Amino acid sequence: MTYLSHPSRSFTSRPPAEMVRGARGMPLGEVARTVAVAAVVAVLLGSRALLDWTAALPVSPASDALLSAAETWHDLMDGLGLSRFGDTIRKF
Amino acid sequence: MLFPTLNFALFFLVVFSLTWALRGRHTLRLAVLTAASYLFYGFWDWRFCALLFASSAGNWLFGRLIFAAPDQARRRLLLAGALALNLGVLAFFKYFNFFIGSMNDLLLTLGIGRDLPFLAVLLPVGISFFTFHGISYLVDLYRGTLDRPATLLQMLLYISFFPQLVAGPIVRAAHFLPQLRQPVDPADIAATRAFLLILGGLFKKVVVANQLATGLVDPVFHDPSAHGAVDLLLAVYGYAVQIYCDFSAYTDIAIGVAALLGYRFPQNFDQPYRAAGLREFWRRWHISLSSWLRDYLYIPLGGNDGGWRRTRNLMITMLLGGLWHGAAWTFVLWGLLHGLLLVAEHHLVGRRETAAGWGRAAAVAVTFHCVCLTWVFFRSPDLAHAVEFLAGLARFDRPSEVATPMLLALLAGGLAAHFLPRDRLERIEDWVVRLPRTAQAAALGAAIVVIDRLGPDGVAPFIYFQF
Repeated sequence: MTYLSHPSRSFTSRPPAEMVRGARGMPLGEVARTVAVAAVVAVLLGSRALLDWTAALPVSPASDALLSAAETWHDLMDGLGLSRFGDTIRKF
Repeated sequence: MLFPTLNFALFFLVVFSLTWALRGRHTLRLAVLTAASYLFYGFWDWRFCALLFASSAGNWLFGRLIFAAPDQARRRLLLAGALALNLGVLAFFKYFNFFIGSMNDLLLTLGIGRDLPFLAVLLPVGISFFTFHGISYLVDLYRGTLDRPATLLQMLLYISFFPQLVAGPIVRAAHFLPQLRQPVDPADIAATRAFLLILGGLFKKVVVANQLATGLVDPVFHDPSAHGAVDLLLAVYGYAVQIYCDFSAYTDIAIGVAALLGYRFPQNFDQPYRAAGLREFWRRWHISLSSWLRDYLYIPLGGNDGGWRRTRNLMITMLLGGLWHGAAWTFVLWGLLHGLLLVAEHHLVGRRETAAGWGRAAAVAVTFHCVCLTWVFFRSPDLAHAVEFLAGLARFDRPSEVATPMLLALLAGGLAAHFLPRDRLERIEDWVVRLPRTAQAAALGAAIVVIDRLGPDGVAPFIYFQF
């Protein structure tokens, strides 16, 4: 029982280092807007990844509908030239 | 559900929206976070949600009993019982078949061979981590580092909180539970830093770790006898970078995700390969585990008291630290080697300051190669494989078959990143916040697509999931 009766030292009460300590704060509204814009950009530029993801879903009527929508979306982005962004990086 | 997947992105978007929408209703917010965490865990195997709940509820109950116990003797007895229960569950799920197998081997060697029966025990993901969280809660409460017990809801969330549930960082009860007692502040979210951590983590995992694993480390470690010294050396350097990028990526993303939800996690890595000694290495590598072992095992064993006792305590701590990683003799040997190297360093260097300039550079190089040597045992499936790997380091007659410019660049970049300025994250954050907010957001979305496209097909699980 020596283990349990050994007096505690200051280590456990010392706060650990944190990677977000001293970081700049952002209000929730700004964070939500940032996440929304980032998601839209990712959906626009990452139509290939969306297509790959829907193609890998377990087969069901819902996933079939999703796959069809993702194909349409990818064709649309292809037409606009936006999918070339991801394809060029992939070739690299 | 792995972090670098669209599944997780969608899951997180829902949890983020829902929990911030509930910011005025603190208890309900905690309940939703808990439910989301169980859903996240259930994606691996829903049956283990019951184990997770039992572990949390059991530790909560023991915590209340310890707190309410009228005298020290009873508190100590309750703590001993609770620790035995926690470690017993961990031992059963993680080590039962390892001990049976080792016992069978021993009995066979002694000529009294008996086939002790194995059990079909599935290893619950993250059991090592949530067991350590439970022990942290009980010991912090016993020591008085935690001033009062958690409510059941707080306890369920502390143990199951999804960013840290399956691979850490190990969050101390005394550090995290006070955060759950008060409502989060929606006016002060460390979002830019969080996005940088998440992007950096995704890059390290998807691009660096996955490419090094598939192109260099896995093929060479799979059959070391088919490769010469150059490839073996590149593979062990590659593994050093891969495991760092893989594990630190997970914890960086976990820290970023938690920060976006309003919570703070401890730092887990601090450029470990720039360490000029093994002691310094362990202050920079998997900090939440090494400090946990220091505070809950090494110090209570007596810590640095006296010469041979320090040696004994170090060896016990490192051996158990090795065994914590996995039920295999390779991990035990990995811990043993680290223990021996630490003991040797204590004897050779003592309390002397690490040299500066070229002396420090040499110490960094020696430390890195010692760590690399131990990684051979950590990565190899068994001891015979590790010995075969090390023997191959003397085969200089074969040219490299796996080196490509891209893999060498990733390897060099992964090592060079350890020598970037310590305040690199703050500097990047300062630069980013000067951009218009919409540009920051668009760059975030574009960066996610770039990282996804730069990685190989598919997503390999994080290395530390198996622990």
